[in-house]
Amino acid sequence: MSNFCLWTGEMVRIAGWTFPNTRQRPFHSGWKYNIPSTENSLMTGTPPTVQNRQAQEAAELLRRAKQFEPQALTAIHDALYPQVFRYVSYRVDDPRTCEDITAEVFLRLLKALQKEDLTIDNLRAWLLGTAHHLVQDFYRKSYRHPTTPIEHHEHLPNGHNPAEEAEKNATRHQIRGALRQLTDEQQHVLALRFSQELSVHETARVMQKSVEAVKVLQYRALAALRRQLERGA
Amino acid sequence: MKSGETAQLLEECLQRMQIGEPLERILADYPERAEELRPLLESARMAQANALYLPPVSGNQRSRAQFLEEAARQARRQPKRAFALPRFAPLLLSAVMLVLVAVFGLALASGRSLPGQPLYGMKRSVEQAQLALSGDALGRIALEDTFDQRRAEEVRRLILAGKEQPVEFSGFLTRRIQDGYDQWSAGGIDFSLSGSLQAAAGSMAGGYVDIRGFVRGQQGLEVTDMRLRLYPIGGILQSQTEQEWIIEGVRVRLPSLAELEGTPEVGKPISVTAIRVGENDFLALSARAGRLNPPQTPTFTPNLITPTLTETTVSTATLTPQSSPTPRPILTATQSDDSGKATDDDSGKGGDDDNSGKGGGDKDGYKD
Repeated sequence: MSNFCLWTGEMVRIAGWTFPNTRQRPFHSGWKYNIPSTENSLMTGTPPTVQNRQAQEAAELLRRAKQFEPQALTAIHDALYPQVFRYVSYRVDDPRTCEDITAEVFLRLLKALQKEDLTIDNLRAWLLGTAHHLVQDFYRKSYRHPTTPIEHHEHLPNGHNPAEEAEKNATRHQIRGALRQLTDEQQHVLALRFSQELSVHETARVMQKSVEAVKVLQYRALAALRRQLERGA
Repeated sequence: MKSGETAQLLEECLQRMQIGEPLERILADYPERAEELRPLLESARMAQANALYLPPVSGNQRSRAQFLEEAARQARRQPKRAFALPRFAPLLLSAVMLVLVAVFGLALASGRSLPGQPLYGMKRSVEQAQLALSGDALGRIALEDTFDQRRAEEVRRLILAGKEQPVEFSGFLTRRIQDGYDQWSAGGIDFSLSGSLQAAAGSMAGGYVDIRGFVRGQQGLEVTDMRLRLYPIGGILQSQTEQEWIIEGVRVRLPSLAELEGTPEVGKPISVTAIRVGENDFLALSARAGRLNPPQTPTFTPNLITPTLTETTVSTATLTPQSSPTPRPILTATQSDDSGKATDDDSGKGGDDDNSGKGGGDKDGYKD
């Protein structure tokens, strides 16, 4: 029990620090995100002094993770798994493939912890960048060895009407089909903006592009998506 | 309108949508751009609708288990070190080891090399390094003796091998009469001298000389040049009498004509330039008290040689060594040549009487 409390505490700290500028915005009638309540509550506003202390603790957590301390690794994994998974699932239909790719991202993180100069600030950018490359690899292999797509998603949120979910699935399938037609960079920018809720500045940092370039890329991506949706309709 | 401006406007609208503002209200603020913005914002809303999935709990658990298992494996593979080595450390270490082994191997291999062979230069360089690192005067002299024995051994081997090669070696010069002819020897190497050299060598017999010549195959050694070796001896003066000093274990006798600069005091540094007439028997030519660097006069080449007796340089030398552990003949050699005076300032002086010999020292050293 005490271990669980400690993990939870560390998850709180790392999630609160690592993504201070990407806390979930309050959505009223706009976009809805299916964010776990614990994660959502972690991302509320925090005073700067507390943020400094959290930053130190998060850096310490990363240092321990670099020494393969299971407790620190677990805290990092559990804090960041949902975000990586959301990114991957935004771009890949098959939930099992999403899980495999997300798990692979974290396995690669172990090697990167030893070899690369990862800081708590660039950790998420590294994870999302690696997820992007693995998704690219997945589609490259899929084109060489096409498989039958799984039409039905097995990880549906609980408590929904099956008919309503079926309709939503159909719409989602149509959107995904349209998304697949976009260029890799266009898919990447939309996934970062709409699956992660990254600001345009954060997106620019992850993509290693200028803010203006990201805005133009985003504009073109949405225009292309619109064309594809109209074509599909 | 440029796409950059539209992109900026779109971003502003997206931010307003993000905080929950209705689409119609946003578009109402940009009536002239509403037609252009509407499809883009609707696409954005649909793109957002794509991100609905909850991360599966089972997937999270599986991933965590894999993650920790792999971490444990890597932790076992990488034992903790007391300090972090750079990534290229093993490569660097291997390279350093390789170089050390190569240098050590070459140094060993060069040990038996002879003049004219590729590794001979390395052999001499190693010896020079050893000399440079030698400690006191006695230790340096002992080291020089060892190397001189090597030079003599090299000459002996070259003669036995029938090689033709320019050589240098050193040793106490001795003379004996054999079949009515003078037979000379230094460092255990026998040789004959031509007329002029023989006359000059007479003045140096019994002294420690540096010899330069050629090994002519089975015909033996042809000496071309011979000089008394000058020893720079520096160190603390341990004891002194009227006749001799002991400088760091080296016994140095004081001829009356030796040039002396300053007043020597026991316990103070002194430097002497001397010739050698016995194993541990040196005759001072000049001395400088209070300093460790040797006197300017006579000028000498640090490692070897100075007072020269060659076919062109003629002088009078008288060596009358007194007590010495090595028995040697008392010899007097006399040559006459006016040109010898021209080098008197630089000359070394031997002997302890008024007829002391003068080696015509020159700064140029040997003539090649």
